[in-house]
Amino acid sequence: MASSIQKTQDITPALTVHSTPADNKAEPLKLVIVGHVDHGKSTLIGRILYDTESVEPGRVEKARRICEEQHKPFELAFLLDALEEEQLQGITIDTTQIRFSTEKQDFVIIDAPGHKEFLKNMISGAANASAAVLMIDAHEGVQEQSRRHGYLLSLLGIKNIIVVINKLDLVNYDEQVFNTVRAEFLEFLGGLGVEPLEVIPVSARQGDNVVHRSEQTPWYTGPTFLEALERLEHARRDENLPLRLTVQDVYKFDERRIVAGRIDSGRLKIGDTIQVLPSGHKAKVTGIETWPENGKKAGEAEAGYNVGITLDYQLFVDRGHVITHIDNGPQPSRYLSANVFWMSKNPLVPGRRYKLKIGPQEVYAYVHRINRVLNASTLELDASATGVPQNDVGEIVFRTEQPVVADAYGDFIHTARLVIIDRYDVAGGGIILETGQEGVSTNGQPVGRRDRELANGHSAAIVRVKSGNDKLLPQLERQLFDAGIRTYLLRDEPADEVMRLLPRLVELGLVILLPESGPEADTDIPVIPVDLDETGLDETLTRLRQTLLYDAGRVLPEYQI
Amino acid sequence: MDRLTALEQESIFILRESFKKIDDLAMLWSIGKDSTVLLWLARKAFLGHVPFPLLHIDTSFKIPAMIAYRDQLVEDWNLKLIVGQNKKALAEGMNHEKGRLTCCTALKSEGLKQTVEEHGFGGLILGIRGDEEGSRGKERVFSPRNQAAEWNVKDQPPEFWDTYKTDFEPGDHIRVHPLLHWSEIDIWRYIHRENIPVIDLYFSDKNGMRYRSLGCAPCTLPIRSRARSVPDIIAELETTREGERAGRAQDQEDSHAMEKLRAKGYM
Repeated sequence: MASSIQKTQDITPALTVHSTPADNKAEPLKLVIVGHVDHGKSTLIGRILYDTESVEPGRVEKARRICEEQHKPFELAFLLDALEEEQLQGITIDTTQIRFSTEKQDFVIIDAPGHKEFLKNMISGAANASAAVLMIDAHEGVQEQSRRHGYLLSLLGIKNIIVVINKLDLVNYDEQVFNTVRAEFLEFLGGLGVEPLEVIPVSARQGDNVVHRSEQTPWYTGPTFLEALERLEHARRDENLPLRLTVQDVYKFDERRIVAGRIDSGRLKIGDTIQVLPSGHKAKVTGIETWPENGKKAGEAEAGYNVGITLDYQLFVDRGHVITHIDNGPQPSRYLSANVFWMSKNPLVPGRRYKLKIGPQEVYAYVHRINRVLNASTLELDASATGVPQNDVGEIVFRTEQPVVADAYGDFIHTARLVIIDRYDVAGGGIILETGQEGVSTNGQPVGRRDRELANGHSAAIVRVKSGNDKLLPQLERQLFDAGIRTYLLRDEPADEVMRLLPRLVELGLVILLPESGPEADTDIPVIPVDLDETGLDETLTRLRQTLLYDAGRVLPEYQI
Repeated sequence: MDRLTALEQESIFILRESFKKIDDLAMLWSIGKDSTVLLWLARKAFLGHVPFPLLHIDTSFKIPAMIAYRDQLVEDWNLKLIVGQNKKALAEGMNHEKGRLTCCTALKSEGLKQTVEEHGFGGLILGIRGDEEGSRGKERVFSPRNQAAEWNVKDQPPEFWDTYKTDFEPGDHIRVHPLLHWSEIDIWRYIHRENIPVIDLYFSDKNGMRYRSLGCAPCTLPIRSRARSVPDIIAELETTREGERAGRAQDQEDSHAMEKLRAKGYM
């Protein structure tokens, strides 16, 4: 059979004008359903699928069959099991997302499975949710996981939260019970600054107030669960906010020099004067490039669109720079505080160099201060914690090596979330609470030793080591280095060479190790004597870390905030 | 923002991330509808350019019309194409009669691995979609592979929002899936909206048959269908209960066939 290519006409949807054919609804709303084990998550999902007729009759029959085979009464939760079985065979639905639709809106439920893996899965699924449903059993009341999940949702910055108080049938649809549980949970959420959109009394098993309004709860006048879902708004891509465009790349495929990035908020027009942060250099937008070209170019673009723009002035622009309009960009700074959830086996600790990613912006940073750590299992606060262990959350102040351009989470979203990389791995993430105005302004000053010390995360020093065992010196060097201290052992060089090198090395902000027998140094740098024979390697290391690392206790007065 | 635009913009963002963050990148192009949409999106992302080579793993058993179509489009769109083939396995007589999974592993997975090694690619962009079959639903957008091209489905990196894993140990290999959140019907609606050319094997022929998913001739069966145009296909998909890959024989070899194939480097 010969093949022919269907020739295409040149159809160009302009960046700001796009048709919405009837079969192309708004993008689906992503929901995550969380709550204590056995508080009815699967039953609620099963009930919605069943009552909105989102599953074919064959699947319901299959669920009935599974129940009969297991000698159990028919439960809607088994609808999910029947779906899962299909998923295992790889036929229709993927394993993590369940779709259903009403006339007004398509929904995707992101399954957040098993509570042990909850945190990690929540990141990959729920972090993208526009809304969360928190389920509480009216009979059992608020439980540990109800609180923990509430806390994590607030940390993820999910603001659309619907609380469902389930199993009303088990408490005889008693308004008093509902009100008690409601009040208790609202108080807890209020402490986190979370105000749920609705608190809805339902029985997922009986179908009360899920899709159909219940006659059992005449005292309840609010929306049914489905009505509440239909009222949800999409996560805002607010084109009315100030402009934020984080540069992703700069293209020079042809004669054009195109600055590429996504508009995270606001809008951009040809002719706008913009500034590039952190440098603050200004330029005018001369073009918004599109492909395929439709004879004329787009004149403006708004939040949510990936654009390629050209500027009238060839200023230095690179990935990670943030483009804003004049006078309403964030102040670049070197400090930011964030609520961080930590997933790596190695705790988040001071003295270790991490990479922070704020969208395409990447900076290196150290923990400057741990304000508090919350044990995500017991919900106990620890104000004297020295690190954030795996699966816990903390309020952390970071000090960055490069100026960082970020917003506080609230109106802004994309420029207010960070991901933390430890070596090559995604180790944690969080939302930014504030950025520090105390940032060290460089203002074109020459780079001095203190700039380098700050960038290194520790002060420069000469450490004079006494040891009967020569082999311990390289070991000490290795361990200091691994602890994040930039160090160099000067042992084999002749004395005059050491004298010549020392001032330079110290000026680089390094920690220089000298054997006790080495020459006297002639610099203004503190000399720290250590005796390995007396204090041992581990104790020496601890003391040096305490002394040198800013974050381990000692901060140079000039840089304190 | 409507659904198709949201998907399109997400894919463009992912394509631009991968181009910036991964050295020696290539895009796998199977000639099918998904990877052709992906190719279209790449031209949008890079404003008319495709700044990396396309890679086609030719098993030598592809439906012949696919090869003719491929060569035509390469010429029309001025693309850089690399064709990879496991010549050794073919010389030793590999074919589906030796076992479909064995054949797929040798001619596709192994063929891909050889081509990637030969050209030193550090990352591949693939047009897989999460709704195609179960194991693909578990994928990440940026999915690391170890040096043996194996996929560790049980321990995948978390993906926070749209900040993907882009830091890798030297020697790691990365697969990027810009279409992960698209469904089959999204693809066809987008083809319709953008008027993207597709091979006519997807349209009903004079015998009332069309291909819904394209692959090797011996292992890919057409379905009975009256759909002769893109709108026809969309209408058909709106009502069908049949799985997209029902005509792909290798999937039916074993109930976890795809997961097993994919753990070893299959697309």
